[in-house]
Amino acid sequence: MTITEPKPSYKYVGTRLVRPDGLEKVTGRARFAADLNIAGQLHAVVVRSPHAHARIVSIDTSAAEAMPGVKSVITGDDFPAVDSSHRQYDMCVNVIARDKVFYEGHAVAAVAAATLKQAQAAAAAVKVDYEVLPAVLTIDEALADNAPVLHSHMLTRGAEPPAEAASNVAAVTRFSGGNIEAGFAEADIVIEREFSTKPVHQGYIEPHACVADTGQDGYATIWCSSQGHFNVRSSTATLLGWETTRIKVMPAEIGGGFGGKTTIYLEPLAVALSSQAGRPVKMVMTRSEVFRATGPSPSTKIRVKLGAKKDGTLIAGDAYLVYSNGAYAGAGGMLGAMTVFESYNIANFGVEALDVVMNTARSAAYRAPAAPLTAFATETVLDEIAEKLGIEAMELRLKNAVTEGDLSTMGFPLARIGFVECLEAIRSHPHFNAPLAPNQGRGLAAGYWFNIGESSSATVNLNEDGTATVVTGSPDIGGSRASMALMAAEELGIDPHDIRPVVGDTEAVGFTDVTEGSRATFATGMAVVQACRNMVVELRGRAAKMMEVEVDDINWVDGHAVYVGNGDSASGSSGDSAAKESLSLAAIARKAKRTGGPLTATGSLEAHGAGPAFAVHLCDVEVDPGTGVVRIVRYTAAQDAGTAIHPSYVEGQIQGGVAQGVGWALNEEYIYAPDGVMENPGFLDYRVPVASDLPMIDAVIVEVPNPAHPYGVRGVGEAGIVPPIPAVANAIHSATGCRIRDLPMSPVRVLEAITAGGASANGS
Amino acid sequence: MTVRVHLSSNLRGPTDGIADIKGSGTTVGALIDDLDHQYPGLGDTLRSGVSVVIDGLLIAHPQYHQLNDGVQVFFVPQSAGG
Repeated sequence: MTITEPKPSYKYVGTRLVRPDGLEKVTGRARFAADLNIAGQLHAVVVRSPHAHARIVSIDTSAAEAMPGVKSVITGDDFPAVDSSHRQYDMCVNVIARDKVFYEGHAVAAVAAATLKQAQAAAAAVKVDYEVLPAVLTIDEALADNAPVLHSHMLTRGAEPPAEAASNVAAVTRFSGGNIEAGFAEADIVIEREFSTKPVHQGYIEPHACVADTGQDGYATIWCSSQGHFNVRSSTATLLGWETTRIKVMPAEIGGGFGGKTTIYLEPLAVALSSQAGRPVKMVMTRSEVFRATGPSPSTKIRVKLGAKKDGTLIAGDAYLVYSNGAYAGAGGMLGAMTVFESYNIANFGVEALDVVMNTARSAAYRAPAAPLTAFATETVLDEIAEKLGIEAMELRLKNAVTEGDLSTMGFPLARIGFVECLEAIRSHPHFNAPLAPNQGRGLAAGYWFNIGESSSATVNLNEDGTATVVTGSPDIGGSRASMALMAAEELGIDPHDIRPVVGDTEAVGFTDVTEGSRATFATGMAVVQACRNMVVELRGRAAKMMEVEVDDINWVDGHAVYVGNGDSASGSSGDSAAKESLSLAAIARKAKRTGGPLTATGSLEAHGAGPAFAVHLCDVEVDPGTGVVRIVRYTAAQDAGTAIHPSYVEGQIQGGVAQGVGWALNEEYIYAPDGVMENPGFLDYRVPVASDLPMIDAVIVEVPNPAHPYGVRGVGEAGIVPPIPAVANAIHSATGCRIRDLPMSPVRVLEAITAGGASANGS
Repeated sequence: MTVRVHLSSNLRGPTDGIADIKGSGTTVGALIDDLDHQYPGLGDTLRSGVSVVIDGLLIAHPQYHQLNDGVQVFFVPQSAGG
């Protein structure tokens, strides 16, 4: 179901084009990174730390080097030294450890051999002498006065007064507005609650994989899947100490990223091994490696306190957020601080957020990083306020929701946004008042995400038969090829089936930033529009030559150059302005050689004006009072897409966000042994939702166009994962009377809460 | 030209908590230079990890962005995404 406000009438934008990559994917022909094989390639395996925290005393590779089939062995010593002041220090020493390992699974060496079995055997023969250090495995341990300090250079950013001694607190962020004490003093009701969450993985099905081939000329080609191959190139070059131009990255199809493939793990190792061996090198992580060594979300401890008047007006908010970003500094706390109160008008507020480090895998972005966890806290406390004031949860949100012109937590007036429209879409949905069965409950929650712009490039090439190729630098993670084709079709006025959207390698198209922040359809779409508009300028010029008229007398209308002058100079028009000439794009393309040469145009830009996205979800659960098992029985999700370029993909993004959010809410967590070893690094013990766990998710697209985008796009990849956790939590409360504030809300935890008579796991 | 400036609350250390100030410059970079003269240390705060919002547009890398008469420049933390 789509709800729209009046908008321009588009011919192609908003249609459901058959996805250009669909046939290849459903027939298994699409080539993901692990599918690529090159003649003569070696297979490489990473040697990983068995310890959560240790000093590397020595690494002896001699036995491994002497084993059959082994062609190269590398350690951190094979890479340029990197100083802790380096901008990408954390990335460099995460890819391969130098003097210390900071989590179980941290890479310390890599081995390439003729076969995978030979590489595995040789990796097992690499002897690493560790001095095991005390590990910091929880937020409380990281913040303890006598905590082992992971990084001797880590001085807390944002500390007042400035930090003089190293600690495990990477940064502190504070936001405030109004008078928080006076605000709470005015409140008729104040509720303060604490929450805790565990790391969860993005859960992409495709493991990290790459093939690298370093030639004798010192230039390397990498085939890999990532959320940004230009970033793979620059990060790999940085780690190797190479010039960027020595590396070409070819994007493979990507089998899920969700933020976890915005950074790199394998590529520099593969290039270094290939360089040493003089052969191509293939690396594919096992699922265990993916879990142990690649980016989970942060874990958190959150305290939120809200004050409201009797009529439901929120008047004060206070939040204390601690985000653990794993082994290295991250931005979870900062992003949490920017989102915790962003959806509502709260005149008096204060937020303090800490980013801490501990001996677990370095966290990576995960769809709307940090926001699902602050939403868990804020939206469940709001629900409790509504309950205690006797106000409907929907009415409380509508009463306090931010709208255009309201001030952001950061002080600027919000541009056109669609939060209220999303709330109203849910309120008017048949689900909202549908009856519930016994043991069922209904939860409502909202979510917010910024979205970002950044740099993108596109090239449009017209072929001699009037078809077009659109080349962009954004990997197609969520349907960007189809969206680019639709926007190009709208601009050029040709059928989208006549447009071939292509993801270009790092030498085939201009620089393009990582696909993150829901930016691809927004920013790369703007680059495509810019390239197409440049193409139309060129087409009008070519048409003017062919018609022997002035270019200013040519308009571009529905794929045709249309003469709109008075006819004086129009070839064959005999001065009759009514006898306008028209040339199709195909006709102009056929004559390109005679009118000036190939028709190609580019667009490159830094996209300004990313439009914030809001989502509102309604979730029904059924709770088995005997086992604590929670089943999702109905789910409706509304989200402001700005404009849905390809509605099916927008719905897919919404549904995917819900599925992942439900897993986060009910099942998923990293479980560590006391020594910091992950105990559930596989999909049998780390359970993500499967199709049978979920009902059909009704995705409601709300369209409140972003005025900064030529088609009103906001970006839809992230906001959908923000509300599910609190929506599920509020639904469980509705069904059982239990408020659960620790994730996951597993059967054991739900049963404990039910058995305790409705009390929360951490106190109600 | 003189423009109005609003600092998000996490950026107000060098201004002793003052949110709304004025500065001059034809670009955001020049404006930051001027603000740094007025409030020593504010330049370092605003040059790294900070975006601006001008006329409702979020601009992630604003150093050379031209300023027009009458605009208000909101300095905010840079966001990211997954």
